[in-house]
Amino acid sequence: MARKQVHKSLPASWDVDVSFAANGLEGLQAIREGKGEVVFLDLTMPDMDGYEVLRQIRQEGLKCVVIVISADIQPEARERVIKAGALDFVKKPINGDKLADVLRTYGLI
Amino acid sequence: MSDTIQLSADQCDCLQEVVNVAMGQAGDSLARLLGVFVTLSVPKIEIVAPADVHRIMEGKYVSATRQAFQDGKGKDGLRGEALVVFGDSSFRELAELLQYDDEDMGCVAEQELLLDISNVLNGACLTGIADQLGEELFYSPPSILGQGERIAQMLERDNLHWESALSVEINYKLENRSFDCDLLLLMPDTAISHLAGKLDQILEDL
Amino acid sequence: MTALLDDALRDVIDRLDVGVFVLNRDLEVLFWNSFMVANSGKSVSEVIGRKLPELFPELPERWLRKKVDTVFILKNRSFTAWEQRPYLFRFQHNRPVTGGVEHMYQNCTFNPCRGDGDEVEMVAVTLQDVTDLAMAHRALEIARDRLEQSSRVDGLTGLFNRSHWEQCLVGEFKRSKRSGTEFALIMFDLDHFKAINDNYGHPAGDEVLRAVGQCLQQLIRETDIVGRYGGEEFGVIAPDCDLDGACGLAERIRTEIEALSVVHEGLPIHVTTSLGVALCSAEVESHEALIGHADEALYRTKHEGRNSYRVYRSG
Repeated sequence: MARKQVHKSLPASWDVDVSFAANGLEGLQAIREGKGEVVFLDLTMPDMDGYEVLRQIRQEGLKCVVIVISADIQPEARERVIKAGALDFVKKPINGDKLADVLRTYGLI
Repeated sequence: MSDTIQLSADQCDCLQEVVNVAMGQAGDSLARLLGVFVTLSVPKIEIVAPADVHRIMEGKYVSATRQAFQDGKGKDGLRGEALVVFGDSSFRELAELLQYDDEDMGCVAEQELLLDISNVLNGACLTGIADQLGEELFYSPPSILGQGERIAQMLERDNLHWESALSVEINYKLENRSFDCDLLLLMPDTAISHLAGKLDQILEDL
Repeated sequence: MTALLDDALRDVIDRLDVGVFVLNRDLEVLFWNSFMVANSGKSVSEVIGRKLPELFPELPERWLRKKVDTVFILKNRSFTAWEQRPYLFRFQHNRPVTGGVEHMYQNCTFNPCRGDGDEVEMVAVTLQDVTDLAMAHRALEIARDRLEQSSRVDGLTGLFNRSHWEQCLVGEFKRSKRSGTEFALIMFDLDHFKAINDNYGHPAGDEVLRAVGQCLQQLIRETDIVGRYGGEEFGVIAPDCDLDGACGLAERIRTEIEALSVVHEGLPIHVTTSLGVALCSAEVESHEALIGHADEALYRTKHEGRNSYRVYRSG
């Protein structure tokens, strides 16, 4: 559901292949397999949370751009993920226009 | 599990996300109230029958508050009671965070503390859920259901009548401190059906 | 039309039989209705623009500030109830004749008032007089207490009966869990009591129980709670007591009962007692488990020769 919401919020004109992962571990595996140039990462996930995924990405030097999409709207959560290497933070419930703005800001679309 | 009303896998998934967003808002409120960072976990969602509610914090001595909510649409609308069940957490630390004076920290101040925290969690969580469902909820002041008792005892004594409960298990961890609570939304079946209908709408829009 | 309606509503709010006042973030009063004027004795012109804690020094300022701040920050309604906080303002109640209470009981609601930018600009407080409700509730409690009192005591020994004593134990158990302090439980019974009944008759047995009851009441501290648990079984709850203290108490009970001389139809009867001591520490899961521990220790005393005490050993 959360994944569908993100998918639906992506700009329609954006020509990309989208892969989904059910939790942090699966997500990390997909990144290792090169399936994620741009990663939309949740923070609260079963098995491995978003903070841990960010740490692993940095540790393994995986090449990807991470945008965190989370319901954790504490200002400090944003600071923490940016410090951990995320490019930006988008609050849930997700808004397509906001997401497009972020993608545009970083020249991703 | 019992023969109470059940949600489909899609509806459950959708509700999980709705609650996740609402809990994020409630967590933020709690963090602002206490002035600490709150670590969120994945909320566990389940529809439970009255008989199964006893399993919550089974055998543990807990404190609980209740707060009624309704959408103003009468019998078939969204309505019920929100129960917040606190584990044997250290009230002293919470009191310290909320700057309750030491000498205040009697039984009564402890109740006030439970009520304040319940009100913040319920207010943020219920408003968060209602917003996403496109509803408006009204709620009553919270009151104490019981302190230092087993949940079964409290529910029996207060003779609460409901058909199903949406059990939302949340576990807030405060940095360097721990604080557990369960949020239970007790609702009649008509309200759960109403909720299911709203979830279907969200799913259709996807 | 809207202006007319606004005026009408303002008038209704002003005359409402509920206190209504509005504060800004600095706790300055922006609105003060007639109910507040009538009960506080402070007129509108006296209070408007002034800080509430300055006007009413008896208000719990730090608490109030926190409460109002929370409403500003969280944009969420907040409440106080008379059960926890009987009143916010120390107002007279409106029952000067039939009263019996000294002040007005109040329920308050703190409502956020949002401005155009969705930020909270003011807090509107409503104050409800719930004195009647509180008094009815109290009267009910007093009646219940009286009933309870009469059903608490064991007629023969004058000690608490089992059901009340167990309630006390449950209460002490919860208190100890909340505050993290320990307390001790001593369970004991009279040795060979059946033989006394058989040899001297039941009235003699009753005489012994009565004497033991009196002896215990003189022996214990004011805070200790002693009850008759069963036929010739007794229990003592000793709050804020460590193991040494509990052993001391157990030994005193043992020697005092041993020293008792109950004269029945000219014949002296002597009794001894076997005791079990258990400490309610953090690991003990329920009051039932605690009784189990003390009973287990008591059982060992019986097996190891009676007229003594043993302490529960875990594991």
